[in-house]
Parts: sequence; C-alpha cells; structure tokens
Amino acid sequence: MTSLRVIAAASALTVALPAQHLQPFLATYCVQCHGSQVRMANRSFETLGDDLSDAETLLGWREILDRLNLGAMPPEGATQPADEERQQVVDWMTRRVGEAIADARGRGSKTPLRRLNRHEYDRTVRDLLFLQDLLADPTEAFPPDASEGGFDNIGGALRTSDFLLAGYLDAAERFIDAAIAPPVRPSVRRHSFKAPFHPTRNRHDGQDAPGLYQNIRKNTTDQGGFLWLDDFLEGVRHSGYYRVRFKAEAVNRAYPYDERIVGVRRSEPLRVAVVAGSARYGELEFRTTSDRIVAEFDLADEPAWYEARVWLDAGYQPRLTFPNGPSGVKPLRKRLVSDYPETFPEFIRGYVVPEGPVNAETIAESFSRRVSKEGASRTELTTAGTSRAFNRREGWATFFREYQGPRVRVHEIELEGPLHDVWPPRSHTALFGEHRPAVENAELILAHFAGRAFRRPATPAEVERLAALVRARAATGDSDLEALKAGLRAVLVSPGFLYLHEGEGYLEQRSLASRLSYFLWSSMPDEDLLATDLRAPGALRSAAERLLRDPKSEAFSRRFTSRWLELHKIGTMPPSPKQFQQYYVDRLEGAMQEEARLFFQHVLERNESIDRFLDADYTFVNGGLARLYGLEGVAGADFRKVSLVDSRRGGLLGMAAVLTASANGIDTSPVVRGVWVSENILGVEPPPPPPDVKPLEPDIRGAQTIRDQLAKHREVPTCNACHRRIDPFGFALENFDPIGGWRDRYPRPKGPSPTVDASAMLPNGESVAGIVDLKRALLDRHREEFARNLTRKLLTYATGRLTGLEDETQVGRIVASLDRAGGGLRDLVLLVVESEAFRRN
Amino acid sequence: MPDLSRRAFLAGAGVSLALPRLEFLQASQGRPMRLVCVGNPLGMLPEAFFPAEAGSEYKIPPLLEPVERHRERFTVFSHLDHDVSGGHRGVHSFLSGIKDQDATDWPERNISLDQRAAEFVGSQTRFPSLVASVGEAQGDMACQMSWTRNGVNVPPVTRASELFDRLFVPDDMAARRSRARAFDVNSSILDAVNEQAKTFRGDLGRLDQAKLDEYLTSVREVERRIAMSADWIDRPKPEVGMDRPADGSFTETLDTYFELMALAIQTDSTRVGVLEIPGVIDTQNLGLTGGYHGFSHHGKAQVLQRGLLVIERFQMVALGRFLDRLAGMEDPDGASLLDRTMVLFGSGMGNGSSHSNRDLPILLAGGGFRHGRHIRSPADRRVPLCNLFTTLLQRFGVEIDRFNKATGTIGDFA
Repeated sequence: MTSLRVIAAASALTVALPAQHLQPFLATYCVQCHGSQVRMANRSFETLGDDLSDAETLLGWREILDRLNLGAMPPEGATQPADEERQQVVDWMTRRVGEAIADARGRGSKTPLRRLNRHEYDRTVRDLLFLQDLLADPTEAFPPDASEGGFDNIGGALRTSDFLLAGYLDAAERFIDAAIAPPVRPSVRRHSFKAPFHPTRNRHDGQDAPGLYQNIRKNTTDQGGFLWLDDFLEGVRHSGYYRVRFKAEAVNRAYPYDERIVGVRRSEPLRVAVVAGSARYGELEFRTTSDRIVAEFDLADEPAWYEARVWLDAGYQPRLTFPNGPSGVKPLRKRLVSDYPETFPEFIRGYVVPEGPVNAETIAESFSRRVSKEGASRTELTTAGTSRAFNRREGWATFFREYQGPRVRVHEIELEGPLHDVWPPRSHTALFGEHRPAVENAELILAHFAGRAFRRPATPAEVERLAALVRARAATGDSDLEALKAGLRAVLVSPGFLYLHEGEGYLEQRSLASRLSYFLWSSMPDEDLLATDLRAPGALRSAAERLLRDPKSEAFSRRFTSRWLELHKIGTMPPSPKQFQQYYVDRLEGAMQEEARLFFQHVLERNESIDRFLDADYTFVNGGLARLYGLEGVAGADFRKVSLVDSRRGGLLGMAAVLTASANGIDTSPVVRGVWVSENILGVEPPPPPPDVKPLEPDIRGAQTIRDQLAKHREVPTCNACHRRIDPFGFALENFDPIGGWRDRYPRPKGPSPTVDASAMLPNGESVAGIVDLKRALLDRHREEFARNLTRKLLTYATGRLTGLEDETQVGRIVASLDRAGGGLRDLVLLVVESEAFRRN
Repeated sequence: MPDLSRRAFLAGAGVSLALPRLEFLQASQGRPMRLVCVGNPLGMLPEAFFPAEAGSEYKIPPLLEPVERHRERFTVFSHLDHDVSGGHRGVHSFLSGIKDQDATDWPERNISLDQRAAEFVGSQTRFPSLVASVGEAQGDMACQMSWTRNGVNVPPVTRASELFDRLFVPDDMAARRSRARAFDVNSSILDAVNEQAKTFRGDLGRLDQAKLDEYLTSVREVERRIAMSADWIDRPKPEVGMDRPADGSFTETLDTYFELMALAIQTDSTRVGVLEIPGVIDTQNLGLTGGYHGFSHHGKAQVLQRGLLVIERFQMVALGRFLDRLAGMEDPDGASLLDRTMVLFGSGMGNGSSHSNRDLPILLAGGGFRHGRHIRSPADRRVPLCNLFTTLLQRFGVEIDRFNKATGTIGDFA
C-alpha cells in the first residue's frame, strides 16, 4: 500500500507532532532507528508532519499504524510499549487517519456535478420517451458504475469514461430509433399457432400430440426448456402492445418420484412464464441475452386459457417456459433411472445396460463410465457421469417417453397487435411534439425535447448549437429525419442531460425538483414537480408525499433497500446447487430480495416505526421462503404478509436476503457478518485490517469451528481491539446458513458435525445467546445508533454524497424530531427531505 | 433495429485506444514483441502450483504437468505480489499492482501492464489490445484485469463469436459505408456536445469542473478512437482458416478463446491480449458438483481441494495447448511465435481459501527469456511483482525504469 518513494518525500515536512500523544511515543520507541541520525529503511519520523490532509503525511501515518497494529514494530529486542500504551496510540491514530481519509474522499456538504448512473439513465430515457416497457436494453454495454459507501449514486465516485461515452452515443441512437413511429399506422394482425409449435426432431418422445398439444418438460437452466414459435422466427413486425393468449394445463403435478430428485414441489402449482426473445440474439430454443419475462401464471391442472397484454419490440416473439420445472436433466435422469429402474425398462435395455443383469450396480456403473480422453473432443473431461450412448437424442426421447414427471402441456397460442391507443404513439410525440420532422422545424423540435431532457428550459444558445448540427448534417446529404436524429441524440449525450447540476448554496427550484425525484423515483421530475414552488412552506413535504404515493416510488424502496442492505451482492456468488438445492428449486434468489423490499415498502407506507427493522412480528413470504423459514400453510409464488410466532425471524437480521448478502454462498464468517451489522445497522465502519496480517486459513476437516479458528486470531491484542467489536454480532447470527436457513450444526464433508454456538459477548459487555437476544439487545441499547445510521444512509442516497462529521448536527436534529413524531419511516424520509442537508448543496 | 456489429464496435468493449506517445514514434525496428496475459480470480492451489525446489532442477508439481513439455520455455515465480490486501477486492490489481480505490495516489493511476504495452503499440495494429473474458462474470467473480491510464476498467468482450467477428469477419461495402457514416455522425455529435460542455464549464465550481473535465476527456478519447478506427475501416481484415465459433459454456469455449488469441497475434491484428477466466463456470462439465468459488473455499478438505485441482488443471491444460499453438506458429522471419510472445499466467489471488493476495501464482512463458527455472524471491524481503512487469515492458520495447510499484527489474533471467 505504501511505497518507499512516498515516505521518503514525507520526511521533508517539519510540522511539529501533537505533543500529548504521538511525539513521546515515537521519541521513545521509534526515532532511534528512524530519525535524522539513523534512517533505517529510509524512514525518519522526527519530522513527520501532522497535517493529514497532505497525502504524503497521511501515507506515513498509515504505515506507522499498520506496523503498530501488526506488532511488527518496534522489532524484537527493542524496547516495547505496553499493550495498553500501544493500543491507546493505535486507537487515536486510527481515528485521525479514518477522519482524514474520509475528508480526502470528498465527504463534505457539497455534491459535485452528479452523473446519472446506469439505472437512473435508463429509467430517465424511458420516462422521457414513454418507452417504459421496451424490451431491449440499450444500456447493456455500459461499464459498471462505481459505488462508494455502498451507494452507486455518489456524484464524486461516478466517473465518466470513453467507454461510457461511446455507450451513450450508441444507446441514444437505439432509444431514439425505438421511439420514432413508422410513417403509416400498422394494422392489427392476429396470429394463431397450433401444436407442434416447433420441431422436436428425433428427440420426440411420443407424449406430444401434433395438432393437439406439445409439452414443456423442464425449466431453462440448462439447454432447452423453451417452447418457441418456429414459424414466427422473424417476430412481430412492429413494436407495441400485444395480446398474448395461450391454452395450457399442468400435467403430472402429483408425479410418482422423490421430490428431492425432481426438484418440483407437488404442493405448488406449475407455472408458465412468457419470455420474449429475439432470434437476432441467438437460437430461440436456447436462452439469449435478449430474453425478458413479460408475464407469469400459475397453471390449473386442467386445460384453460391464459391471457396477458405485453409489450413486444419489433423482431421479438413470445416463448413459453416452465420456470419451476425440473432443472439439470442429466443428473435427474441418472437418479430416476437408478432409483426407479422398473419404470424405465426401454431406456435401460436400449441405452444403459444393453445386455446382462439390470440392477442398481450395473446401472450405476454404466452411468459412471467415463468417456476416454481420446474420445473427448473439446474438453479434457466431457460430461462425466454419462456415456455417449444415452446422450443421443433417441436416448433422451426414450427416457422422456417413460418419464412420469411434471410437464406443462400447451395447446394453442394466439397473438394480436400492435394495439395502439393513440397514433402517433407518445414516444414519437415526445421527440417531435406536433411538428413535422423537417429540418425547418429543428429549433422548435430541439427546444422542446432538450427542455424536457435537461429538466430546465434549454438556452437559446444551446438550441442554436443543436440546430446547427442538424443543418450541417442535412447539408452533407442526410435526410431530414436522419439529420434531426443526430440533434436529438446530441441532447441525450449532452452534459445538461447526463449530469445533475446542483450548484452551491440553497438549491434553486428546478435542482430541488430533480434531487427529489431522483431520490424517490430514480428518474426525472414530472411537469407538476417542475412547476411547483418547492421553496414555499410545506411544499417540499407535500411534493415528497405525492411522489411516494406514485407507483414510480417502487424504485426508491427497491434501490435504497438493495444498496443499504447490500442486496445487490446476492447472485454474484451463487450458492452450491448441491448443498443448497432449495435455493434453486424455490427460486429464492429473487424471492428473498422481494421480501426485503416489500417489508421496507410496508413500513414506509404504513409509517411504522423504524424499530421494525430491528425486530418485527411479521414479514412477507411466498411458498418458497415459507419453506426456508419453516412456516406452514403458504404456497405459491405470490407474496403475502404473515405473522411470525417464532421470534428467530422478523426484522432485517432474520431475513434470508440479509443473511445471504452477508455470506458468500459457501460458508459464513462471523467477521463478515459482524462487519455487515456494524456498518449497516450501527453505522460504524470498522477500519480495514492492516496489510500483512497473516490471513486466516479456514480448516473444515475436523471438529474445529470458525469460532475456534477465530479465537487464535483474537489472542493478538491488536487484532482483538477491533475484532471484539465486530465478531460478536456475527457469532450471534451463526445459526443462519449462507442462504439464511436455520442450522443447529455445521455441515462437514465427513465425520461428526460440530454444534453451532451462537453465543457472544457484545462490545458493551452484554452476553447474548443468539439471534433472539441480539435483536433484543439492539432494540434495548442501540436504537439511537440505528436511527442515526438509517438517517445517514437516507441522506447519502438522497443527496448523492457521503455524509461527514459536519452533517452530524443535522443527523441528530432529524433523529430528535423523528422521536417526537413517533419514529415512523415515512416521517423519517420526509424529515430528510425537509432537512438543510437536502435543500442545500 | 441498428446493426449489431457496429453497435458492439462503437461501444468499444474490450478494445482500448492508446495515447500516441513518444515511444510510438520510436517503434522497434526489429520484429515486434507481443504480450498475452491470462488470469483467474481465485488463484491456484499453492501446494500444487509452486515447485518445492528453486532453480532449474525442480520437480514438476501437479499443476505444471500439463505444460511440462514447455519446461524450457517458461519460468515459475514465487513470493511475488503487490503488497495489497482485500481478498476478492484486491484481485483486480493483478496487472497493475494498485487497487482501484488507491489509483489517485499514483502518477499513472492503476494502469495495467497490458494497457501500458497497448499504448506503445498505438494504432500500428487494428486493435491496440484485445481484452476478453471467457463468458460473463459479475462482481467479485470478475477478474477486471485491464485498466487504462485514466483509471478506467476496460470491459472485456464476453462472447467468442463477437471476438471472431471483430477480428476476422470482413465488412461488405454497405457495412463499411454505414460504419464510416456512423463515425461521421458521431464526430459531429461530439463536436456539438463538446462546445456545449465548454460553455457550461465556465459556470461551474472547482469540484464540478473536475467532473466535467472527465466528460471532456472522454469526448476527446472517443474522438481519437473514432479517428484511429476510421483508418482501419477500409483495410481488409486477415483471412483465417477458422469457422465462426459457436458461443458456449466456459469449458466448451476456453480453447476457442485461446485459439482466437493465437490467431489475433499471428495475424498481427493485435500485439496485446488479455484473457480473463471468470469465477463462475460450468463445473458440471468437468464432472464436478459444486461451484468454482465453492471449491476455492476448500478449508483444507481434501474432497474440495481435489475439485479445485480439476478446475485449475483444466486451465493449465488449455494454457499448454495455447503454448503448443504459439510454438508451432512462425513469425515471417521463421522464428517461433512463442519466442516473440510473452505469455503471463497468474492471478491476483494467492490463496483462495484464505483470501490472501500475497504470493501470487505467476508463470511466464515465451518472449525469448532464459527460462527453465523456478525463481523464488526471498519471502522476508518483498520483491514487487511490478519488477517483473517492468522487465516485460522493457522487453516489449517500452522505455521504462519502474512500472507502478516496481523498485527495479528482475534482471537475472532477461
């Protein structure tokens, strides 16, 4: 981290050290070797400065701190400070360095020019052009946005790069092309499709009935699983809303195999999803990057019609899938054939054990026969566990002919559209207003569009520059429409569109409107908001209330929860499918995030106390989550509010999303979860571990638990100083596995499973036995810290800058008012909006 | 719907542009050197990667067996790293030595080895560099190996077919004209917004100006990219005897990516390649149940270590085939392409189970060095990995004394 080069330069500074702390310490223990006389390792601390806003001085401090932390300095044999003395200096330096780093990162009361992040950009352009349902994602090539303090809307951290700007140029073109209507209103067309919808070739299993129906046998996690329209590869001719109808039924829901093998819950209805996709992105038989789920249904066990009105981009077609169908058909087949050999006679005789005795051993042996290295063409090991014969299509067809597992049977599909309410569509009018798209109208068109896009009227100079671009393009031979498009694209690539400019001091009306709408909608303000005098008494509050009532505020509960609770990390380290089959069978990844969002939204809408985040006697679950939590009587994919009798759940710390986001999909670490609680509940950012600490090398072979292994770490006083304030919170959560399921024992590959010990001594000396105690302790003694922390997080998200020490007075004021108002989340959001920090920059 | 290939091209994923620099003008007179960097985000099992003995008499460890036939053309290094920490969050410093968040402390930010080399090449080749990932990866499971001088991560190309299209699929006249026109339109748009931004700049405070300068820099960079790419529009792409590859899973396409890299080097389409191995792969195709990341958290359990070895060995086997391929290709003067290509394999993670960023696994093949040894640096006196990178850059032709954190070079094998 620190380089010699930098430290050497630091020695040029001569500012005196603060006498009360560091000077005597350095003089006693360090300067003999690192002074002006002897400069070991080319370091002298005699003249090390105290001004930590100077980057080089700061680096010097950090290096001293690192060595002290490690116990690496003073070296063996030299006079050592007492543990307590060392600790005192370490604590004091840690605090000063922490503050200095925070300052250096531009904490402070001002948000610099803030670029829209990818999400805000996307929502804004869609709102601007009335293309909310467009399936294509023109922002797909944008590089990921940087985040700071966990949030990805921090002005100082959001960079603009050439890759991003090239992405803007391209996305603007795609959005604008999508918004422009064809010259003639397309007529409504009706398409009917009957089975077979697509060829099954020699994978045909005889259970489809051409002319009547076709089956979907599995979900789409491995290859296949789509029912696509092979006669309709070109997709719909025009973008717009379409009515999709299909007739389908659930077959074999009560199938005769072990549920754990098939991975489909008998208690749940089978589901069908309508997945739009474009053949331009790949074969429709497989997943493509263009796929979007546009509707989803529970299926009845008898044939019925289902209908949805969905948007389709030109070139897309609706396909049907079986999202809660079996996944991983190769292991599925192996297990079924081994466990139920009597039901697969043809497959076994034809492909598995062609001659000789048929029993569990011969089947297992046949399946585990590996393809020889010579035989493997592209990979060293080809699919192990299956030999080639039964991977032939006839092999699959034979297997599926005998297979009694769940299927979705589709009889007919109908498609009708495009269904336009108005013509030309609103997206077209958004670009051109009432004007004919002609170069002579360039000024009018661009003034109108730029005014909306910039969230303020465009200046005459701006309009003139854009119009000049259009005229220049026309002069090179572009058609009027093409020339205008260049001007419209320029608007979407302009800094006036891409950046929120908030100026200094109290925000002027329009900046305030934008700040508010990006806070609560993650998108541009509407006309009402721009027209409201938000600086009039009470106006800001009532505007915020209006925005919160609007469905667009779903963006707030989704984005804020995701960032505050780090839920965006879910899915980046997927849990092992073997260890956590449930996670996939019940599609928990999406469900757990939805729970957190619904809970937040509920607390917000009902203005319930923010204490509910620490503990609550209700939550929101669907069938899958209910199973994870051991709750009875909930089935289906839809969410509902349930009362909790078991106090181990309830509140953020009992939520699968939080417990998954604070693990890594493989195992749990009390340190990582402890840091999570510290940062996101208590608002204390533990200092990073000093470099050169010998990392903890987990050992799961024996009876040792993570607690035993951490114990050694915590014997080192300098380690323990921080870890005793971090780990206890994580220890108390150890009963939750990496996906938030309850466990009393740790799993071990072999040998006895050690019991989980979730007891801990909190930093304040209080002992807790596990999650229930921890929640009580947080409610009893840490409510204030939690309220302050949530306030800071909301302020950060609302203003696009990290809060600093200078904001603490305001934070305190907000929390005090919140207490008087009853502690409701909506009150808190409104207090944040009305705060000085929100209204000025 | 707009043309897909043009769009991808303009978005510029994986393709970086270089600043024309003084070095550019002093391009080497002899045959050019090339550089290919391959990395994964989870390290290599140390016991199976590092030989027990230093020097040339070392016993080949299990993970080097798949490349053993090239023993005299590679060197293994141990005890080299960047002195960073952070576990997964430190991995992206593999080729730079500097973590993203510390970039502003350094004069050249966290520019990575490959991009420093790409700057040297400039527009002498169609692509100053090619950055690819064998499939998409997100968050900590992405390598994020390549960084520009502006501290920007170069987004990798994540589909073999797209890589192939860019390298070898010729545009017909209509496509070339439409691309030329797109360049032209984009240039006029950039002119207009640049003017806009400059006017805007006058009204801003200092912090705001710094942000706007990022924007203006980006405008200039894109303009430069357009200008450089425009030079290449009408120059024919090389023809190769390879069919357009199908996209597929990691295990199905790793060899394809290596082959594309080899062909890109052979045809002088680029001289700098980066290949990122993602941390989420189709382990089931290797006969394993469980994820790559899961195996890396083996906690010393043998069954998990064995799984990890299968995954890591698979990578080494593919690397071995890549070295075969380069060794069998010839530069126009008859020299083996492997002797003109430095192939660096490694990771920003030293030990996946302990999340350590120390003692990184480093293997360097080719490039005409004095190979055949295991060079072990002292464990107690840290030698920065950037010293090796400096040596590589010098061999590449770059006039440089210290790359990022380097304190010197690793001279005794150059």
